Amino acid sequence: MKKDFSKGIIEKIKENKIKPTQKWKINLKNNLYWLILGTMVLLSGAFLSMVILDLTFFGPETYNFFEFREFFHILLSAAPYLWIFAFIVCVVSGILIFQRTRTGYRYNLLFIVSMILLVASFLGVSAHLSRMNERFESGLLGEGPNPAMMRLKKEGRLFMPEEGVLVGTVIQLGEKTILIKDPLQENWVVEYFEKTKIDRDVDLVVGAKVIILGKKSEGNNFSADGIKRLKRPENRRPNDERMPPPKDEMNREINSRGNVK
Amino acid sequence: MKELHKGKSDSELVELSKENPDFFEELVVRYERKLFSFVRRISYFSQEDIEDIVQEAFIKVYKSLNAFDNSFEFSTWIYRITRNTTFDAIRRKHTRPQSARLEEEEILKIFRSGVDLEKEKIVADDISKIKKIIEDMPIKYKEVFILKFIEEKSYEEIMDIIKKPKGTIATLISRGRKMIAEEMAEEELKFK
Repeated sequence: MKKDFSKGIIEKIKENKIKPTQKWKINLKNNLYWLILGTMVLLSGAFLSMVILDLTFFGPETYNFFEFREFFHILLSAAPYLWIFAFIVCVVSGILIFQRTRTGYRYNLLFIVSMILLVASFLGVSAHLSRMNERFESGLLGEGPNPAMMRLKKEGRLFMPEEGVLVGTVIQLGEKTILIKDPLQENWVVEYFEKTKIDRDVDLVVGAKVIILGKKSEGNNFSADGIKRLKRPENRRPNDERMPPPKDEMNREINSRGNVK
Repeated sequence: MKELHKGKSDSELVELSKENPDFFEELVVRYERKLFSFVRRISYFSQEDIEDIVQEAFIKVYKSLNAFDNSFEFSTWIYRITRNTTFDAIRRKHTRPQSARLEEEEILKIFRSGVDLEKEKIVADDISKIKKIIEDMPIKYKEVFILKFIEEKSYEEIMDIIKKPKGTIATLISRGRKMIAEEMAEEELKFK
């Protein structure tokens, strides 16, 4: 080692007027990591709530309408891949950013993954329970038919008449039939029977968004084994006037609307 | 000025150096030899190159004085910056750091620690084989062995220097030992 090595370094510092980087710049960098990490975890929670929103739509009772393979196929076809992908990207980014924080390297990967998933799950479930995910979905993708957004929307993904799943808005009611408009703006005549299982919270009125489980027959005709509501019912107080009518009342209401062409 | 440095801790000198670079000289004096040896052990560079790397590391340390956190040991922090500067230099030269220039005594120290040989006699014929075993070890294992058994750093310090969790350090040491044992069997090395 050269003699006066230390002196050489000090001379270089003085000659080049090297100064320590200002503290605020260093703090800014550290805080930026935490800010990005926080954003990533928040977004993970938001995207997870979208996944929950879409997946909880198929309740276990849906299984009764399909064979296991059909049910599995529908689940795979209708899975919200965009949200799942966005969730994974945010979680992975969160992990990488956490590891870049000042002491992030001290924690093992399993701990970091568990912590991020735990917080994201808490946020996701909270957003789902508080219905923020529904507002997020309509805010992000907009309301009404939009072919460009249709695949991202639950309506678009669930629209699989050949597989036995039909989605749309009720536009007319008849005796044992309803006319619905699908997300691609085509009309479908849906026939339902005594044995058709209609969910308790289905408000079968014009304008209601429903999902029909059953079988497609010729043309745009469909026979329903089950009818579910596409969107979750609003929060209601007990004895609220908007509670769904009992089934016999509902049938009376449908009969009074007249026949479908 | 030199008298003023006496008895001052590294952290105190860091604070003083922020205002006056002359105080930084004492920190350079305290660590230059240790860092020079450390760079030599983890790289294969010539003496001149090592001096350049150590000088670059000290300049980086000076520029980052405000980033120094008192919850870390200064020695750990300066080792980390030097290690990163060395690896940057290795990458710049597009070469592999595999053939680090370890002295015979250092090689034997790593080897003995790796296979728990305290008193066993190692004959001259075996030294070249041992040298080959240690030199052929991937850098990620060799680096941890150097820090643990030659630089005599604790697990916590190694964790902060190479920025890996403690469990990973333990795994690297354990795998490195296994690797040495396997190589020993392959080279048919036996000690009495």
